[in-house]
Amino acid sequence: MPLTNPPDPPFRCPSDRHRVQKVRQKTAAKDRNTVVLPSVDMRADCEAINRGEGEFNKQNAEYALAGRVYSVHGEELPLVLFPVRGDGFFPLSRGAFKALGVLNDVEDRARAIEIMDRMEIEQAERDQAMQVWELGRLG
Amino acid sequence: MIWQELLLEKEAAPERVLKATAELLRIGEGFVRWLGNVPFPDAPLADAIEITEAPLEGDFAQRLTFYVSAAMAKGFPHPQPEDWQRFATTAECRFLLSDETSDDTAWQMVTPSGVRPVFLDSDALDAERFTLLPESSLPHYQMRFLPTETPDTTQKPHEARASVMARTIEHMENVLHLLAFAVEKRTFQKHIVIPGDIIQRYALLCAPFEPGSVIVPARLAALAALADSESGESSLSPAVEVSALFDRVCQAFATQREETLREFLPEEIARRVRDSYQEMLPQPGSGYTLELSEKPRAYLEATRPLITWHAKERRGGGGKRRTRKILVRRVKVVAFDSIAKTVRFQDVQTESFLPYKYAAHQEEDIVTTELLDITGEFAVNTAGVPVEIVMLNDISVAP
Repeated sequence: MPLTNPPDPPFRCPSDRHRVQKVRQKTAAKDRNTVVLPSVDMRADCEAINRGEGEFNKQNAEYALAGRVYSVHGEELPLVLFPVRGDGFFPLSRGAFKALGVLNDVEDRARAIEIMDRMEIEQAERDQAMQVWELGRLG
Repeated sequence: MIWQELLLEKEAAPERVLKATAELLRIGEGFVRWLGNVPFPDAPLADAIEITEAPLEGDFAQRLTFYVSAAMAKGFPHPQPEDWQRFATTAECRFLLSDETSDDTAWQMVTPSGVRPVFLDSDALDAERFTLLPESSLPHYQMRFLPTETPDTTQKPHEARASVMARTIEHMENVLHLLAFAVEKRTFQKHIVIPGDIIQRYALLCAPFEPGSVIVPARLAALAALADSESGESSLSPAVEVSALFDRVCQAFATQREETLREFLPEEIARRVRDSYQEMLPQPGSGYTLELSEKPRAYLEATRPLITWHAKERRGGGGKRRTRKILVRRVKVVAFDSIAKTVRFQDVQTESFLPYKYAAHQEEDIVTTELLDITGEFAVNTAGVPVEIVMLNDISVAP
């Protein structure tokens, strides 16, 4: 059942660069970052929101749908959705995001750990990155 | 750990970055190391902050990554926007700094003149290019003309006088051009003449009235199609800096501290900006007051923090038009900033404060605890008290 009016013009779907497996060492990291598991069908979510099925929060311009929350980039039309939080979305700190980039870039696990040692990435951030990376591999 | 990442508009000189970092973190330059273009530190982090660089594509040329041991990071201060602004001044660059959101297109642009929110093009990011979205990255203003008297019965509530609006719009654009002149560090001989390319490239674009209101929507635009500046750089990030300066000018007027313009603008430009800004305000007796605000972002129904100020109608009798006089005043230095090159004098006789942005060669004369005699042109209020230094010709230790 539609909860909000369909956006006009419709939103563009989130980019695949938010996917877990797309993060690289050279990807620019912010203080806060969100990555998305391959199992999340962001296109289906986007189409549902465009049909008016998302629950809109006026305070922070967010759409909630199926346990996930999206917002929109910038202001130039058509607006583009991006993932914020929820099922299949993982918030990562700068260090965890960079660790994920190392894991995606370096196949040799011992070498990846050596690089994270050099970067002095904290253990908790490595563990989080490893967990997300493993989930990303499982699809 | 990675302490910070910055995306610089152009490649910065390593020695400037090292100096800026040391100032920012209040550590000695010996504790900051430049590693160059390497993916990560090649040895365990010691008792220093280590900086790597990497090239970028798009409107930003260089990424700086700051590595530091967790132990050392614990002692770092938490830099405030004005600290980052000072970093930009020392490093001689504009750069993007992470904001608090997880939106990878939303950043803060730090310039020597201030900090503004900007947005990157999502499609360009897909191609690993860092390109600013022009319309989202520059401010949208609202000029609201409010009658101060009961309008003529033939005037409708949503109508305002053309002459009042035209004057305000013209002078607001002139202020923006003067600020662009300052941002681009253009030089002049005796009088400032705004070059044609600045007039063409920095535009205040206005739209028709919003229905049923006296609000004129306007936005600052960097017209890239009309060629780049003399320095060869794109107009967009300088325009972001112009809007940051405009915020500060408005803030100075909103708090009735116009004399502080000199703290962030060269003297002659500050004078012209002050004059133009005052012309922008509805004239005494015009029957209008102006409310100038930055519009909340238009997408969806969300709002962002506003910068709003109310330009009050000028006081009669030229309350803000002060007389200028050549004077000799005895002052003491009560505050001093060798990085921003600003000093705050206090007039010994009247106890009024006189901020001044000094030139490098004047520093030696100013850094003193002794009383000084300063000679120059001053703005004085109706009581004859100096309230502003217009130009300083001589500084000497009082006998």
